[in-house]
Amino acid sequence: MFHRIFLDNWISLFPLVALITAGSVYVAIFYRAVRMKSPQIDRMAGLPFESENSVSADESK
Amino acid sequence: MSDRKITIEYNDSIVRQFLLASVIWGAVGMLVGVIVASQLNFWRLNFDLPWLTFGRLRPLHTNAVIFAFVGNMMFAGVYYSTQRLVKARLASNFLSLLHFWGWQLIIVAAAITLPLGFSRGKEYAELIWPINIAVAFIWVVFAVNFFWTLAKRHEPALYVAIWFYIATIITVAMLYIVNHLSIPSSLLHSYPVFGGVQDALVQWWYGHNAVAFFLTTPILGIMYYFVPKAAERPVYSYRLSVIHFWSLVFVYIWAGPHHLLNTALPGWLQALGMTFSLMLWAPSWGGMLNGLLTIRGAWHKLRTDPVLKFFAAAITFYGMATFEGPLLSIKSVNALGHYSDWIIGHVHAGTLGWNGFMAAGMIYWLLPRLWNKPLHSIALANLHFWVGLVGILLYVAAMWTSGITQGLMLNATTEHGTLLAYPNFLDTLNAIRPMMLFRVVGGTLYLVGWFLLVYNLYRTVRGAKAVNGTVEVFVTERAVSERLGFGSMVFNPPVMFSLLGTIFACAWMFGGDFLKLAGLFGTALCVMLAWVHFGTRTSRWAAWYDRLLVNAMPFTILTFIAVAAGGLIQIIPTTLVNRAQNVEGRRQLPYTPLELAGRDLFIREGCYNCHSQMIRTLVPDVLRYGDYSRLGESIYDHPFQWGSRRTGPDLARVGSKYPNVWHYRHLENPRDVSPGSNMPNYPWLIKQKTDVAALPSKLAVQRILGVPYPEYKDGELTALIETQEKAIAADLKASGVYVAPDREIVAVIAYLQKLGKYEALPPIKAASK
Repeated sequence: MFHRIFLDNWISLFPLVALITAGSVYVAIFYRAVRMKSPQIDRMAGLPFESENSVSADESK
Repeated sequence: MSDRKITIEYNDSIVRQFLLASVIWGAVGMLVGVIVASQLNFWRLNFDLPWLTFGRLRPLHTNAVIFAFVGNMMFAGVYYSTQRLVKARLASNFLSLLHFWGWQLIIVAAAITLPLGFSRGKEYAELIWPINIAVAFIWVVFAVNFFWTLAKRHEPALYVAIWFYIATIITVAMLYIVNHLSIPSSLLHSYPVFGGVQDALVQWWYGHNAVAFFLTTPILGIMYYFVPKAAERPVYSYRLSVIHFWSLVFVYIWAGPHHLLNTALPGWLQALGMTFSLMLWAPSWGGMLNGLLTIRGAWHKLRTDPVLKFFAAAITFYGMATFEGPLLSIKSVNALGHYSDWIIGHVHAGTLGWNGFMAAGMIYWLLPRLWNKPLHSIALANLHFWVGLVGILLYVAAMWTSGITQGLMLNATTEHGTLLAYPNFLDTLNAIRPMMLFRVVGGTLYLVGWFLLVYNLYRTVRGAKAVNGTVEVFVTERAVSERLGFGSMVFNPPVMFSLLGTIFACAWMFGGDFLKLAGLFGTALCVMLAWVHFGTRTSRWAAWYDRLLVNAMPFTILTFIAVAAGGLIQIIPTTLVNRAQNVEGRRQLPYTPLELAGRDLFIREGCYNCHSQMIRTLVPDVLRYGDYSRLGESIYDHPFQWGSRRTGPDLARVGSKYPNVWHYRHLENPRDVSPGSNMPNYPWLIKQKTDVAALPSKLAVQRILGVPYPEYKDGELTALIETQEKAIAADLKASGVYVAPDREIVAVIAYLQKLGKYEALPPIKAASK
């Protein structure tokens, strides 16, 4: 059976199974993302905004 | 637990180095792009010089803009943002420098070898095997430096940009290594281990995901860091960014077969590629909207701020390109667009618009911060934006028009679909010449814009003092409860249920009678149990996921599994099954040694950049080029040569279509036999001798790869080659052309005359009865 995998029709089930799998992953992640708590979301979204200073590259360690 | 405060100085000097390299290589890569676009219009610009022909320069252009321009830009953005997001200096100065100089050396090596014709013959994977090893090594250096930095971080949470960087690092490594698996025949030459359809699948799994994981995911990470910084407000929806990440990394990897629609590729793989490509609409547009809406409340700044202007346009182009990609993956649309300039327009909307404008926005944002000096001229940056934007619009509009025009002409039939409306291929080529000229104008404008950036950068940096960012952090011990070891990562409900479900599903799909039944019940039971367990122990599932997000290594492993799944399912069956003994219908006749030498010359000259070798299962293709191509007809082709663009006609069945003298005249000066052709002349093929000495080692590699070449005795190989050479030379002489039999042109003619030759085979089932 396996050596004719290119030619047999039953294998057309594959895209359907893959679609369902990917859809399940999508739904699961969507659920997790929606369930994230607001303080956690706010903290994560604020990560790029930490203040910083600068020092001359000539004096760098 | 004692907290102490320390000051961290970021390694911004490496960011500056990568940034400058990106600007310089960007100018070089785009300049080569304008040159090759001009060559398509004016064939004389090939100058009859081997190292300046379109076939050799086009790979230089694509490799330069992808790996040199975007690569360096990506490294600059990743290193700058990662240090700040995890509050840690890059782990190793040595590794950072090794990464930088190693990458530049690779680029220089590519810039030398590609024009000299050293090529593997696969798009965006042309570099020869010693350079491939160097790329893999430097990528590992990058990965070690990156993950080591994460290990030393002072911020436990991993911002979504870091997720995209992790996905980039592991996926590019996987794609690059698999697609570059080769067996060397000499220091500068090798044959890919995959052949025919197998090679086509692996190549486009790589090629498509080079776009996905080299040109998209790292730039999305950069978007999620730099756009909020430039807009001075957090990302519109962090929740949406989480969905964007997981759905993109899981779905993107499956879509490669959409590059092979309507070909000999099995239907289920084409359906898989098309389905997943359509599914990409959702995450891509989710990400695009998230990026654009991040600028909410700051739209007024677009009038004056070139950085935001570039970012907003870049994200818009991302949305446009990711709408167009799935559209082109619909089989019927693909029948029109594939092999045409529409694809070139689509790609350039992404690269010029998304990559190029994201790069420009990031560079303009970074310059004042890395050199502690205001940008030399905001007006010049704004001018760059408008000149570049007009350039892109001219370019893509011209390519859309060109692609659709040529596609319609090539597919047009009369007499109820029995005759071609435009049987002469050159009629369709010359109809799009004006559009090809507009492309040159658009590309030149974009290049002019880039030179404005170069000038602005030079004036900003000149006399300025480079500065490094610093930050004060509290050093704290991470709580043990946050850590996720290997055992906890694997032995937990979500992973175990997924693993068991996959095993049962495989048994259901591939097993025999009993296994199939057991697999079906097992899968159903697994899904039900997982559902019940999730309902009763939701907190355990949630806790595992939350811990995963602050543990880089387990996160990386699971991301790897997510991206590897799609590739494995598509590639493993072809790797196991695509053997000569399994072929049904037609099997390719192996090339003679001289034909093999000719094939290597065909690859050296980059002919695959303009000529496909795949007649699609479409009526106009069959009417124009002959019977549609079968899977077995390229089984011995290492590498495959199905192509991706038809600037010239398909060659799959060109063998015996024309006499030898036609090919000779055509290679010497194509316009002698094909008036209006834009193909370069190849006079050096008449002067240079075929490298027969290299053949024994090449044949030895071909034998290892499964091509049925016999072991030749002393003198047998030479005699075989000379006999075929002399026969072709004698035939040419009879037609009035005098050429020495040992010249390269004879080998190329031998190869071209072999294309489309096969042996007929019965179906295996019928044969075994």
